[in-house]
Amino acid sequence: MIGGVARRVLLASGLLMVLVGSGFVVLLISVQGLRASEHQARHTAAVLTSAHQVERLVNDLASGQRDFVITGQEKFLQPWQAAQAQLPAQTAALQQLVAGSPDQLTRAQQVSRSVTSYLRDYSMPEIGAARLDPDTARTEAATAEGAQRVAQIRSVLDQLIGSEQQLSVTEQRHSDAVADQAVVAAAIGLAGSVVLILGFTIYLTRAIVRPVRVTAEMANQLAAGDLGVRVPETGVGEIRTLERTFNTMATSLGAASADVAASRARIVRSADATRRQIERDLHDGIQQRLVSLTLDVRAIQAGAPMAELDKVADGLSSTLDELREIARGIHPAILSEGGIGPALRMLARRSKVPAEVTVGFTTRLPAPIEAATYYVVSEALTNAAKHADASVVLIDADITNDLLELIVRDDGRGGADPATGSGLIGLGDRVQALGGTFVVESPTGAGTTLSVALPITL
Amino acid sequence: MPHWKLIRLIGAIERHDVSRTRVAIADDDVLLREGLASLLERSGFAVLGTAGNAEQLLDLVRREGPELVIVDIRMPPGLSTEGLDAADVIRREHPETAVLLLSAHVEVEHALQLMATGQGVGYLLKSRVTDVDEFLESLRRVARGGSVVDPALVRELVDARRRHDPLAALSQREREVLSLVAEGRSNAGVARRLWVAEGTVEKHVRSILTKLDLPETDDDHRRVLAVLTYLDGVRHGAT
Repeated sequence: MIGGVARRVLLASGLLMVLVGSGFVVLLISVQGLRASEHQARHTAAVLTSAHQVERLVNDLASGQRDFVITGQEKFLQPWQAAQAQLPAQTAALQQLVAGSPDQLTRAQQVSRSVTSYLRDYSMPEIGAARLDPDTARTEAATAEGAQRVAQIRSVLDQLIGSEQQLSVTEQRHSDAVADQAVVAAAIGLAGSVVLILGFTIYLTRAIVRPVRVTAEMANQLAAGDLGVRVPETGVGEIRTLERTFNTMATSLGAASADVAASRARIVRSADATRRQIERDLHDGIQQRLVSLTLDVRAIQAGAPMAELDKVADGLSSTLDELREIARGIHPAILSEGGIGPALRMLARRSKVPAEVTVGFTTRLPAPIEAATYYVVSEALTNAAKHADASVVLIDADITNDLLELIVRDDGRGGADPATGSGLIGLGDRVQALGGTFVVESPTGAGTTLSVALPITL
Repeated sequence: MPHWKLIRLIGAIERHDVSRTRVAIADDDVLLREGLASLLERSGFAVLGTAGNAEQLLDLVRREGPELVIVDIRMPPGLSTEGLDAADVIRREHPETAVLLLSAHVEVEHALQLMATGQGVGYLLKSRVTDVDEFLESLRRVARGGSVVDPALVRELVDARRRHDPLAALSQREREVLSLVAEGRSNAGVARRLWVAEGTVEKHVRSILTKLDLPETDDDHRRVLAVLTYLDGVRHGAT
């Protein structure tokens, strides 16, 4: 499935390209058609202009000749002369314009021939006759022939014009049809593109954006310390790989974190056990030996009193006192023997700051929890005496829902910072190693409160 | 009192003095318990036997019926409070048997638990054994039905800092007297210790009991228990 998303994106992009491309091709064809149609219209207009020009010149011939014949004055012949001069060029231009169409060319040639014939065979002889004898030229027969010839030229011209207009109309219709097709094609292309882009966007959102966003949210939770988060592995291709990798990473992190926590708990437990063992060795081993040695000295002394032996025995006695102090510093025996209540009350009795202890239970708890509780209270009492300038310390310990809750608060000057006090850091470590929480609240001037919660299920 | 009765009484006292106090010793350390046994034998006690754990001690007590038992609080198998538990059993089964508990360290709760079992009990640090004369005196007091509490424990209770200290009302001398009373000494014992007349001590004691609102009693043991409980109680607000 590797490359799945990339392939899909490429496919969708290709489809979109084809659709948009074909829309533009249809538009281009349509534009081409419109241009051809416009060209045709211009051509038709030129043909019509040219044809009308020829017709006007023919009219000039006829009317100039008529006026001259009637009046006999040479000045009325001027239009005829102008038309006669222009007509060859004009008919030639017309023929050139319609050269593309054989039918129209035939008609143009016919017009040209008729005009030439009109001039040569009818008009010029008539004018010459009129100059000699105006009356003969005014005969009805002569006039009728002129009219008939002109009518014939007009008829051919009309055919040419009509045919040209027909061509133009046909071309117009064709271009209209092409334009309609273009509109339809553009509409279909537009709608298709919109649908395709919409679908593509939805697909991208579902396949990439949403899974990435969900993964990012989970990553945030993971960063915040919730190692239990997992992403649903529902994506495709690289996205699924990303999700799976994320979950694997979270699992590894959780396992590593659990390992570290377990290791910390083991270290704390092992250290506690070692201290307990040392305390026992001191009390039950060395102290007993010293006591029995002192007894031996006393026994010897009973038989033979000596001042030196007295000194030895006294020295041994004071050594025993020191030994007891050292042993208590290493591990409080009362913690193992009596549990939290007696141990905390002993701490309170020996505290330099008056302390009041309330323990809401007498049950024994797992040794690491008892030890953590003891050391938290011990450190809190030391701090209250050394730094807080407190007048009283209140110690409350109780069990609710398998959770040991310990609160130690004093009325001292506050301002204790767990980040700088190594004692507090060590306590926090110890509590967290047991899966508990350790909170220090110490606003300046308002005393210090240590809140500890330890899960008892160990 | 008729003359013959007085003679019989004196005779009884002499016999008691002549017949040595019969003792049982329990400690898991062989050297220590043998050293202790030898010390006691030399000092006029009759050692009936020694035991290395609570079970052996109970057997010994049931078999020999000693007048006094010296027992280490921490013994196998649990190395916890086996000696204290054995003392409880002995006090229940043989209320007339005096018990002296030896501990590696002082602990108020243990001491109070023992004192609550009645008179003829003592609680001492193990190292007190080395101050032979004082130790033998303590043994005799316990054997006579008196009470003995280790001075270190009493000092810890008296020295404890209190929020509203009721002991602040006591004079220095009264504090000294209170400490000695708490150790289990009679008025005569306190007087001897402080080199003053017994009447003076009585006056002090009455004043102390009044100031601390404690009941007056002629029974030394009940007085010790009341004082200890009071000192421990004000400590953690359980009064």
